[in-house]
Amino acid sequence: MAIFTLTDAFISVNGVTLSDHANKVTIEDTRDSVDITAFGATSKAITKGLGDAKMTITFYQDFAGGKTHATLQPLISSSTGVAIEVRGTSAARSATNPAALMTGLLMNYNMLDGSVGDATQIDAEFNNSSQAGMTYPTS
Amino acid sequence: MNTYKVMLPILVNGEHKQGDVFEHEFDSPEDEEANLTSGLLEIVPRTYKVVGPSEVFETPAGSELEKALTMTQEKLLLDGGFLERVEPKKTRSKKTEADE
Repeated sequence: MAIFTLTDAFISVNGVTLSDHANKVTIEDTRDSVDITAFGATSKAITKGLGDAKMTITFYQDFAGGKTHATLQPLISSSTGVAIEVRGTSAARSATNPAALMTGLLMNYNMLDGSVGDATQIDAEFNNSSQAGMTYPTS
Repeated sequence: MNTYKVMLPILVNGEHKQGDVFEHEFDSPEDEEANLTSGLLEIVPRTYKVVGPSEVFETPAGSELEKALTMTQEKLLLDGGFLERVEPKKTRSKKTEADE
């Protein structure tokens, strides 16, 4: 199995492909750690609790119609989750190119963030909003 | 306004039975979501044209796609200038053509 190098990730927000406006993605699929240590125990015992998921994507800002601002800005005022999909490559979903898919709410939108001469980037944080959590479809 | 199909053996709005397709506008996205997640209704896909510069559902600009979109998804994509609805072409009956 070759080590995977990220060069051509696929990123879709509410169906809109924004791969060519992003350069970093972090996918987090987590479970709470629940302490179940009882009297008499000599070591701490834990089990898994509720699941959670989060995707953080760094986008380049673009105010042109149909690009970054037009896609993300309406989501910050919406309280209904939208589908966020990320794949390792832009090829179709497959067993060797699985998607990370969740329904998420955009929790922050920093429209402008940078210094003089910088490319303006946005760290968009999508938090899971459905019981399905993070799924990994391959088709 | 969206088109829905009744999926369960329950009478919807007092007139639509299982398998029926009907048009309806829910008061809120939450109402729609509740009906979809319960399995009572399913959105009937409709045709959209990608009008913005970005690919939408991996469909390039200028192309058409068929998709079942929730109220929220559709509003965001229509208002944002990503998609527009393609209304189904009305078919003319032979009788009408012959009459003309």
